[in-house]
Amino acid sequence: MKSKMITQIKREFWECRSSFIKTPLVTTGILVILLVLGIAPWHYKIAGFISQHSVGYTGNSDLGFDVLAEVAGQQSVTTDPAYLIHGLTAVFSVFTVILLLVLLFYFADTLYSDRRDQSVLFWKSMPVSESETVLSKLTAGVIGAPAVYVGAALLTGALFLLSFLVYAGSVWKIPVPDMGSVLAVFFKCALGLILGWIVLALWYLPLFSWLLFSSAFVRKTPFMLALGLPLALIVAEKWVLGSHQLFRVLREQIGSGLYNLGILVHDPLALPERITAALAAPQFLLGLLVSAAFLCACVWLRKNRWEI
Amino acid sequence: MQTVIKARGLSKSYGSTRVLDGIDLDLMPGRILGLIGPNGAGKTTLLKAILGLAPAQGELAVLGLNPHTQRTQMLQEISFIADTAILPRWLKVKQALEYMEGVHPRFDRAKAEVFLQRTEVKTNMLVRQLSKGMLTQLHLALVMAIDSKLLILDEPTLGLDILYRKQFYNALLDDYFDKDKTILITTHQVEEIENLLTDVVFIRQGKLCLNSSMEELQDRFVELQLTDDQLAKVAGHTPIHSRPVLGGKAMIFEGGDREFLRSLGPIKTPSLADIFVAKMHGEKS
Repeated sequence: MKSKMITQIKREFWECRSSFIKTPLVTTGILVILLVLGIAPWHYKIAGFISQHSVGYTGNSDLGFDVLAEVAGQQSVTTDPAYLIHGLTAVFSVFTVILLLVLLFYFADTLYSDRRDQSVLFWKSMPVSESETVLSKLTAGVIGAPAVYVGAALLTGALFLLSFLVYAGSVWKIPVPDMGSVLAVFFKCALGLILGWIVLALWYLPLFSWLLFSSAFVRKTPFMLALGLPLALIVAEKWVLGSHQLFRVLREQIGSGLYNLGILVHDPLALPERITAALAAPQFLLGLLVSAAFLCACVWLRKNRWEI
Repeated sequence: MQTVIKARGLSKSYGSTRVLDGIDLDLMPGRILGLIGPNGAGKTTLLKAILGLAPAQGELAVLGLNPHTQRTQMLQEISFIADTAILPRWLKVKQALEYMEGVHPRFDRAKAEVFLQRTEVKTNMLVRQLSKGMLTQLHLALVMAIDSKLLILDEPTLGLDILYRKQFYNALLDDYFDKDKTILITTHQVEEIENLLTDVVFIRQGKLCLNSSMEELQDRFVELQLTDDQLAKVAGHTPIHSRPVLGGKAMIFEGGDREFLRSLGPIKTPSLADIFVAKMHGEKS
């Protein structure tokens, strides 16, 4: 049973190899290249700056400016590794945005793609129930793909810290934080990212389930339903009632997920408080119920209406 | 011995069209049943009902299980190839093997690999790289490596050339079939499976118009060829079908007085294809 679920999730990774594995790896590659390209010019600018003892430099990067300010003041940055957190957060944000886009496309397509390429009867000739199929697809999207993205984000973050510290220490010759506090920053952010994703995924579950439902429901072009219906309802509500409740609810749901992720990356210890806050929000609880309803509907559709 | 498929009064309608109309069927283990019918006769609907893919009214048990409500359990003992059940193009052959090994308790990976070694299919190939013939070989290798009790084949050789078709059926008989296994097969190429079958069912407009073992078929149908001037002799004995042949007519009789017919001229057992045409034609007229 356990191996069946793992095989089902592997199946999703085989099918979505580019978006689940290649994309985060390519993102890592691009960010590392940008990092190297970014650090090298800095090096020359700062080297020039230090040699001239000039204060005329106006870097537009907060990060660079912080460092420059520290350097200009001849202060040690040892006691304040906060600027490292900014860098890590920026790296993690890139991965989060890409992952959310990938999941938008994945969930809106996954219960439709096997009907489109006519492989549905092959999958249906296997002793796998529809609940197992739907659950494995949800798991692949909520846990599987994010695990790869979190891994890639942490790898990029670690490379970022490492190259920054090497440059700062050996090339710029400025005092660097001790290894202990660097590791502390890194692991704090890493833990925050993992916990933040879990809380975000719980807030986003109704959205993911809606996308899955759309992909199970439609005859073709699931995006028309997945994005078109909410959009049409928002417009209709505005016209008919003059209000924008649905838009507000959706914005809150999406915003809450990102907000929690942002808080937890900076402070993973806020988890109990974030969970409590979520459970105290009727919208969050209602979202979980709506998710369950959409997922049950997916299973029913797969069992009874797959021919559409 | 447990009946593999047992159907009583199986019916299904799409709107006002009745696609299955009171089908009764018993299929015992160790048999190879051919389900033959013209397009739109209800073959696929019947297979879907048996596979639990579409609900139908009436009584239906497959290996003693309800195909709709006990589908997952049933599929551990049933395997299935359909022309419409195609392997996904993004799948690699080795992934197909790994997948089946992971989800199917009765799949023997080593066996499938042996079958594949006899073909041109390589395990690191993508399904999209395979020709139609190789694809069928792969699907057959996967399915034959399942120790299933019932194998359902829906037009399995559609679009294949004659070499692949022969190979397909030979492999099926040599490497898969034994007395504990049962095969249900639908095809338009009646001639090719005629020698394979132990039983045959004709379906027309949702009804079974023939349900017989192949041995019974020989006793039941007779073909008699008469020249035009002999035709008057069979007056009173109505053939179910007659077709013109050089200088006369070939007539197929169902039941009938075999000794009398023999006295008129050479008789023989008609081919399955001829019986099929006769039955379909007969029902129409």
